[in-house]
Amino acid sequence: MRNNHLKERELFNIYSGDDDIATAKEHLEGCDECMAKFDEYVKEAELFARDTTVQPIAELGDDFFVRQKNRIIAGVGESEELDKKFLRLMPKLIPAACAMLVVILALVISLQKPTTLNVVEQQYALSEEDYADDLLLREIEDMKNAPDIDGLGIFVDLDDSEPEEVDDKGASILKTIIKA
Amino acid sequence: MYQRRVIKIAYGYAGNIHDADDITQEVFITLYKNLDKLTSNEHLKMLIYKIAVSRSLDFLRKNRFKRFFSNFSQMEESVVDNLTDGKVQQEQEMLDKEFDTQLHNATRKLSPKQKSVFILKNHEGLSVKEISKITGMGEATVKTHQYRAIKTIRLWMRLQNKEKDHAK
Repeated sequence: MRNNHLKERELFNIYSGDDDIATAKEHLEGCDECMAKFDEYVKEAELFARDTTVQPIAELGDDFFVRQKNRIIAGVGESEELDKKFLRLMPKLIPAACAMLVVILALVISLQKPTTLNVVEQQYALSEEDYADDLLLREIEDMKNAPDIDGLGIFVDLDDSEPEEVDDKGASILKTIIKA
Repeated sequence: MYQRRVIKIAYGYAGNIHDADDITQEVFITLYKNLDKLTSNEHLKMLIYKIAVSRSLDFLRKNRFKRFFSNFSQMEESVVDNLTDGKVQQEQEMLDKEFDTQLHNATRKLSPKQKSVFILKNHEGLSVKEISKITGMGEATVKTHQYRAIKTIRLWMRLQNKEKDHAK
């Protein structure tokens, strides 16, 4: 037989009829203090099992359950009606949903497709080299158009024609003319 | 037959009769939709309990914040109501009502799992095995929750009595 008193969990185990309570039961039968504790525990636990809905239900009136039954039947009817409505609408809803999906897809695709302007831009798009040349030409053009500094023409139009060939023979003739 | 049982279970969770009434309606509508799954009377009983517990837990989940804030005010209001009503009632009735209020307040402190076990065990008299089937918890877990539920209620009942004595 054990010397220490029973703990609350052991009192509960005896109260709930647990299988493994032989030692605890043995102690309980020989200990007045624990027996008093156990009696109190059982009394309290049984009091807690009291139905607390009696008063609130009574306050709702005698016919509460009849009214509630009617509400439940109405609720079942409503839910059935909703289900039926949904089933009736299903054949119409599916094509509508499909059409909506198609519209959304079309919108998405059209947003991704390049516009006419984009096509033109792509056609006339410059390669990197072309672009560099173009930039250089523009810069030269800008510099030509820039105002002269102190009236000095920095840029002179160059004659693109082939330079005349001056041979040694011509030079000697020129020298004799000068001497004469 | 099951109407009273369901409303008792729902009241245990919701804490007020109007929400319990709403839960009860939902339970029976759900049951109606699942009638084809029924195999026997015993199955009907278990199915009703299962739906009642599940709908009540859904209610607790939806009203978590509401419950948190209402917990503070409710206890005092109920006790005051009882004392004023008690003037016209018999003494025993008043004491019963006061005890019910205290017990009701104490059960509101239980966790959802403790509540499930406490209600099904104490109010419905179901066995640990049956509760285990309904709630999906192991039998040992059911017992632990039952033990903790009783412990919590004992503590809260004592606390409320102490507060009452202190107020006197």
